[in-house]
Order: sequence, then C-alpha cells, then structure tokens
Amino acid sequence: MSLGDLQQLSMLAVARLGEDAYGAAIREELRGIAGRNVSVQTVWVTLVRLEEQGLAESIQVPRPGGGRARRIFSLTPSGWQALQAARASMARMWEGVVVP
Amino acid sequence: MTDSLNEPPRWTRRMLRRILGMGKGADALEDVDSEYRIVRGRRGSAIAGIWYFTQLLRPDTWQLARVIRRAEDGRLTPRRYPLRISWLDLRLGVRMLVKHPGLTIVATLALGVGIPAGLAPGHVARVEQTALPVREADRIKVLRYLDTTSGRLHTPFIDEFRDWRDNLSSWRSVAFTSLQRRYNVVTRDGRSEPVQGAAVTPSFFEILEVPPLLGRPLVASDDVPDAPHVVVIGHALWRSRFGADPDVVGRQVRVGGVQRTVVGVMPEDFRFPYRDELWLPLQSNDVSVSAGEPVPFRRASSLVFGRLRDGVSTEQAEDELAAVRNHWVAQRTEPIRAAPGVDYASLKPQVVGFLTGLFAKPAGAPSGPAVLAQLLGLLVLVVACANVGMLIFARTAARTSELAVRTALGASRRRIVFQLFVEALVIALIATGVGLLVAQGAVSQLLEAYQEAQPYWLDYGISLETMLWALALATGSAVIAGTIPALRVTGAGLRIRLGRATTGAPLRFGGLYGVLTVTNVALAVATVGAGAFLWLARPELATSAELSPRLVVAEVAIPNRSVRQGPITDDISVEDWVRAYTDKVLALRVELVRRLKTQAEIVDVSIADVLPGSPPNTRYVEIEAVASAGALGSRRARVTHVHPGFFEAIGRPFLTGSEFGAVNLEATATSVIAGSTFARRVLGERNPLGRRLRYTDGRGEPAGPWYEIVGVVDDTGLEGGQGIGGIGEDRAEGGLYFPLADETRSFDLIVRLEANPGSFAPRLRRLIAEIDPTYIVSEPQPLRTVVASSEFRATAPIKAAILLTGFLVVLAAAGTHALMSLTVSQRRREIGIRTALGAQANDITGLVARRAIGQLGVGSVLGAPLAWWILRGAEVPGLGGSRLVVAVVLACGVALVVAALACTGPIVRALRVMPSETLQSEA
Repeated sequence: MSLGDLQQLSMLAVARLGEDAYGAAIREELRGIAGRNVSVQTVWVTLVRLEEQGLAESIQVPRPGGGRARRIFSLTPSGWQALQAARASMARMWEGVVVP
Repeated sequence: MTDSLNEPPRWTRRMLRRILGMGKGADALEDVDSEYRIVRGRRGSAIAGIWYFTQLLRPDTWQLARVIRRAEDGRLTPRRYPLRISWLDLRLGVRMLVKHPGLTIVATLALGVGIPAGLAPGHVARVEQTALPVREADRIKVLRYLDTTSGRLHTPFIDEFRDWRDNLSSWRSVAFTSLQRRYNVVTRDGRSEPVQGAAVTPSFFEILEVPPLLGRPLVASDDVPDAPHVVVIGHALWRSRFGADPDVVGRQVRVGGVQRTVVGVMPEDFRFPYRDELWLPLQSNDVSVSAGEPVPFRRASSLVFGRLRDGVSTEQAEDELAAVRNHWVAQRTEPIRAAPGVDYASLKPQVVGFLTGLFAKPAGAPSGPAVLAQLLGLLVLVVACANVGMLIFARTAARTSELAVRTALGASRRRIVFQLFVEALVIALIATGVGLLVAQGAVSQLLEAYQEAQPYWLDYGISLETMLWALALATGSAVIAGTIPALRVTGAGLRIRLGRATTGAPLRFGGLYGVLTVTNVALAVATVGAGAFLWLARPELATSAELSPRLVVAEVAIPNRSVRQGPITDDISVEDWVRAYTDKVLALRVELVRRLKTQAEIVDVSIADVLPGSPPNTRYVEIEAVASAGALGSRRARVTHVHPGFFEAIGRPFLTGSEFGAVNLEATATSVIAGSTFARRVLGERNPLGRRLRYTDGRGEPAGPWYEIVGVVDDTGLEGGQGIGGIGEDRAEGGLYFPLADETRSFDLIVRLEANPGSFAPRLRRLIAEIDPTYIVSEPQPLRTVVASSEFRATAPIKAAILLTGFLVVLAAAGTHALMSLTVSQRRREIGIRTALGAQANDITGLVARRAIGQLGVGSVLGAPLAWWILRGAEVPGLGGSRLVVAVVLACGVALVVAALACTGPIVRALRVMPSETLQSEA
C-alpha cells in the first residue's frame, strides 16, 4: 500500500507522540518538526482515512485533570508495516543518487 | 483566567458541533478547541474568536464532517449498496398505506389538493405563453392605451387607428378587429344561428399571413364605401352550414341581416382572434365606425394589433407610437370625445404582447392577483406537505423501536431515511394522480363554461410538461413530508433509544414543527377569515330554482338598419326625430311580442333590458318625503326596464299593487314597480304604493322626473350571480323595475312555453326569422340554466375558497391532533408520576395543551393581518368595515374550535392515565 506524503508524516507524528497522539498535538508536531502548516481538520481527515484503511486506530482516553476525553491515535501493525515499507522504498530510491 | 474564558465562543462552537456531529466529530472538535486556546494565548481573544469563526467556513471542516460520517456509517454497514427504489420498498410503502388508512386518506386529500394548487398558476402561465400559430408570432403586438390616472386600459379611436396605420413606420401593418361579436347567419336552407365573428380591417389577414383554404382573404377594395358586401368564413362554418361545398366561393349568405357573398374559406386551424368563424370588413359592417365616430372606450371590445418590422424593438415602436399620437392630437381641430371620466391627456400609448393585449392584462411582470395566486398556490402546497409531514412524523415516531431494531440489524441511517421517503413518495404519487384527475375535470368544466372566451390556440388541458412538473412536486412533497421527519426521528437519539428500545426516550419535536403549527394555524385563520368575508359580502341570490323550467330566454338585437330613418332637417326638431326613432323601435318590440304570442306552443312572452347575470345597472334614487315619514335620502337600486306583462310571464307574484298597464309603453310613463327586497329595506313597514321616487346623481341632485310606485313584486330571481344589487361598494338595496319605453334595440326575450322546452330552441329562432330575418338571435336557453350558470360563475370562487378553507382547517386539526396524541403517549410516565404526586386535572390539561394553545394563539394573531393581505391582494371590492372584523373574529373562533377538537382526545387520554399502571409497566 503506497502512502501519501501527509499520511507518512502524520503516521510518523503519531509514532513520535505515542500516548499523546491526539489531533492538536499531531498538528503541532507536523508544524514544528516537519514544517507542514496544516489545519487540525486536515490532520483529522488524514487520520480517519488511515483508520478506514486499517493503518491506524484510536481510542478515547480520559484526561488527567478531568474534562472531556481525548481521542488518541496509534498505529496498527499494518500501519507500522506500511510505514516501514515506505521508508525502505524511499531508501532504495535514494541509493546511487548523487546530490550535485 | 477562569476556565469559562478559555472556552471558545459558544454560538460558533454550537454550529461547528452541528457540522461535525457526534462521536469522532466531537473528538475532532475538542482538538479544534485546543487549537483555539493556543491561538488565544498567542494572539488574544478577539483574533482567536475570529479564527474560530473562520473554521466554520473552511472546506476542510466540511470535508472532515463528510469523512467522519462516511466512516461511521461504514462501520454499521460494512458493505454499501446504491439506493434504488425496489419492489420491496414499494410494497412496504403500500403496506404502510393500508396499515394506517386514516393517515393515507388525509395525506392523499391534502396532497391531492395541494399539488394541483401548487401546479395551477404555473400551468396557466405556461399555457398563456403559447405562441400564436402564425409565422414569426413574436413580432405581432397589440397597440393600446393605458390610463395613467386610473390604471385602466383602452383601445384607440378608430380615426386615430387610421392615422397610426398610415404613419407608423415601425410596423409592417396594423389592423383593427372587434372581439367576441355574434352574428346571426341565415343560410339558403332557412337555418338561422348565431356565429361568433369579427369585424376586421383587411390588414388583419396581411398581418397573420395565413392563406385561405379556398378563395381569397379580405382585401383593401372590400374596405371602401359602397363596396360589395362580402364575408370570409371559417372551416367549421363551411362544413356545418355549407356541407363543405368546394364551390362555396361566390355563394350568398345572410349575416346580421345583410346579404353577403362568400369570398373565402379559412383553414381548419384558423379561428382568430378567439374562436371566430366569420370575418367581415369593418368599414361596411359597423355603422358607428363607418360614420367616422370614435369607438366608445370599452375594455377589450376591440383590439388594434400589428406586425413589427424586422429589427424594430418594442421600445422603439412605443416611442414612435407616442410621437405619431402627439402629432395627431396637435393636428386635430375638433375636440376629442373620450368616455366619461377619462382624460385623453392621461392616456399613454403601449405596445404589448398579443395575449397581454387580448386578455387586457397589465404590461410587464405579473403583479397583484397573479403573483398572489402563485404564492397562495405554493403556500397551500407547502402547508399540505408540512401537515402530511407532521402526520408522518407522528407515525414514524411511533415506529422508533422498529427503526432501532433495524439499525441494530445493520440498516444505515441513509437506508432507513430512504425507506421512509419511499413511503411518503407512494402517498404523494397516489395523491398526484387523484389531484391531476380532479384538475382535469375542473379544467373541462371551466373550459365549457368559458369556451368562447378562450383563444383557440391555447390548450388548458393537462400537458406532458405539467405532468412532469406534478411528478417533480410529488417528489418534492415526499422529501418534505417523508425525509425531514425521517431525519429527525433517526437523528442522534436513535442509538440511545436502541439501548432501551422498549421504553423509548421521548422525541422532541423541535422548533421546526412549532413553526409549522403556527404557520398552519395562521393560514387556516387567514383563509377562514378571507372565506368568511367573501361569504358575508357575497351577492344576495334569489334562487333560480323558483323559476319555471318552461321559461326560455334569448338575446335579440334589432339591427340599426331596420329602424333607419331620414336625417335631421330644418323641418324636424332633434326631439321629434328621437321620438319618432323610439316609436319605431317600440313598435317593433311590441309587434315581436304580439306575433310570438299568437304561436300555439307559447303561453306568454315578455322583454327585459338587463340579461340575467349581466353587470347590474345601478342608479341612485331618492324617495319623496311625505308627512307621515321624513326624507329617506338617496339609495342605490338595481334598475331593470321591462315590457308590460313581464312579471306575469315569468310567474312572479305581486305582493301588493299590480303590473304596468299598456299605457306604460308611452315615453312619458311614470310608474315603477319595486322589488320586495328594495321595498323592505328602504320603506320598511310603510305602505309603498303611491310613494314617489326619482333618479339622483348620487350627490342628491335630481336627475329625472318622479315615478310612482304602483306595485311590489317578489324578487325576480333573474339577477343570477350578480345578485340583487351587485357586490362590494356598488351593492344596491334591491331591484326597481321601470317600463321599457326607450329605444333599446338589444334586449332579452323571455318566453313561457306550454310544455318543457325540448327542441323548441331552433324553432324560436325560425319564428323570429319569419317575423324579421334581420334580427340577431342568440341561442335560446332555459332561463333556469342561464341564471344558474351565472350564479355558478359568481359563486364558484367563493365556494372554492370555502372548500379550501375547510380543507386547511381539517388538515390543521389532523396535524395538531397527531402531534398532541404523540406527546401524550410519550409523556405517559411523566403524567403518571405527576398524577401520583397529586397533580390535578387542570395541571395535566395545562401540561399537555400549553404548547398547542400558545402556538394557536400566535397563529391566530398572525392570521388576521394575513387574511386582510390576501383579500387586498385579490382586489376584493368593499374591503374593510364591520364585515372584515366579523370575519376575523369568526376565523379566530374557528381556530379555537379546531384547537378544542384537536386537543380533546389527547387530553382525555392524558387524564385517564393511571399512575399505578404506568409505573408498574415501567418497572
């Protein structure tokens, strides 16, 4: 399964954030680390689609200080596989490439 | 900083929540809220508020809503099928119709009336856009005057028309035609029958460019003084009266007393301008016109039309017309005689489309009654849909458990909504079929009643296009009546109810149904008010049933040439000349009556000058003051002139006094007979015999000699739909009957026969033709039929309004009843607990009916001005005054009765709720 650019970045952000991978945090991660300034809605569209494809899953987790529970995303085994495959294919493509 | 300050703007959040929905949508909204707090911390609350609002407008917000909805639906229905109407859907729909027959009947009736009502104005507008069946029909326009002061329309003077014909360069040709005239046609076989025809200028045929089937059209040489008398006949007349003789051209026929030569036969599909069957040259036919006199200003009795040259716009033609007209006025030496009350200077020339001119409609976009009819039609449809929607909502709400189970079994919300839509569609399609059948019947009835006034190329029958529109409206109705309730019932709460399907959480009706109920009540009050006003202001009808079936009536006209006499010379004064002329006419009328009375099958014959159902001739009269009674002031009366023996002929008894004697045929006759209504209203208990009255001009100034009342007769019943004294502001106090002693040449001949009419009608025309073949005689008809048809035309709109009113009231009651019943069934537990805690009957009644009563109150308050607006928009005369107040009060009373009827059943059921049983069943 080939992944789009934003899908890969979002999955990596989910992986980096671990148990704090909720929408706003993922958006901040994309903006701060990858320099991608996307809205939280766009992040959510990507994550819901990843869920539909079986690459991610989510659960509601209560917040420590009370308040409404947050939906935390994580990668499924298929998601990890797809991410690794994407990384490998990217690495293969880079092999032999000489940057002038 | 408190938590509440960290919260995003409430209204915007509510909107976002609506867009994104529950479940993951709510989780996503939490993240958007987190973003808001970040923005707020960085840039302040104002900027953050704006930022938050812009999230409503962002495409990715809406995309997210779609993605989440699809994902959540997909979770319930892993495999998705395209939605198509299957036989199963239709069978389920039909099964629901059978299972709820009450709803089926009410909904079918509601949509069966609502869909044709919504359809009718558009249908009529589409039909009236049908182009004339001639070449380049859009270049044919009507030239007319608009009185800028009164807003009335006028045709031009005939000599002004001639000036236009000679000087207008924007037009290829212009023509003058009379409208809806009837001519007595006598053929060689002696048959004499009236035929609708037009007196036209020869340019009429040049403009229409339709070649004749045989012979030639009228040409310029037919239009000169002393030209031979000719006629062009229509295809139907050629077939019916000339046996489709191919050698008809050159044959003689007597038309309106003049022997004419047939010069042409027009093809079958040419009956211009209405349903005409013969065309005569205007110049030789119309005495008043050929004398060069101005044609009297009459609405739509004649028409000037023409064909614009290529490339000339309507505006250019109108500008040129104004210039030519100003030049004509400047050149004229003698004064222009316009009709009384018309200022020639205020007449503005107009160039309009042919049908606009023919139907004497205002130029430009439709306004006033036309727009109102359109709006009301749509309003009736929307209200019908809304009410059916309420009924379906109530039924659907009662099926919550079934829907919850279906959801649990994997049916998506989309699937359930679609099924409910199909159920509503089945009802709407049946209703549309019923509605179209009813509409077709009504159209046939109306076309038969007004056939001669329908241009021949307009087909008001239900066309394929109208049927497609009906199907579209049916689908739209099903969307409103089926889908909206379905969306509400299957909304977020359905899954909650799924968890406790047996008890069912109560469904809230929400603001939408509150608005619908208020609209419903407002419209019911408005239509009841308008209907009640029309009923109160209706014409007073003397019943036609009292008229003998042996009475026959025919309109007779004595042509001018039959009484033509020499010019006024120095040897004879104008008065003597007029007297001699009147005597001639009088003698002809008396002779006609005398000759007819000698016929074996005729019992009696008489004459009146106002036809049954014609607009009444109302005049102000003043009753002379006497010592025993003071002055009675000026009163309005419906005036009819009748031949002596009239009342005996029609069989109306005298309450007091007697008939006119033969002496009353003198022009100096001074007797008058009062109708019973006039005598009762004006003179009350006083003895009317011997009292004198005279015409006044409305300001109380005398306008004629004194007449003495010699008798009081029971109202004649001949007034037809116009009523005893007309309607609105012209309403008269009743009828007065004066002797017919003037020079009237067009009158109503009333004949009492020995037996029922049967086939007497053609015989009467033959008898009159034997007396004088020049007399023009209309189709003789039973008097009862004429009066009844006039009554039908006058009262049909009122009856339709009352029918519509009843329909809306029943619908409003049904809708309110359905919702109230549902409220009670859903609040049984609450009612039980309240009763157990000591609530009294009043409290329970208030609990159940409070909301409905509030909505009825608001609806009634809105309905009263709406009634006034409807009546004003429909240009109903005599609007205002005590009748309107009575009508509105009556309407509010009806609304209360409806409310009481709708609420009684549910309230009684609520009061019968036993707390122990309810709580036991809950447990």
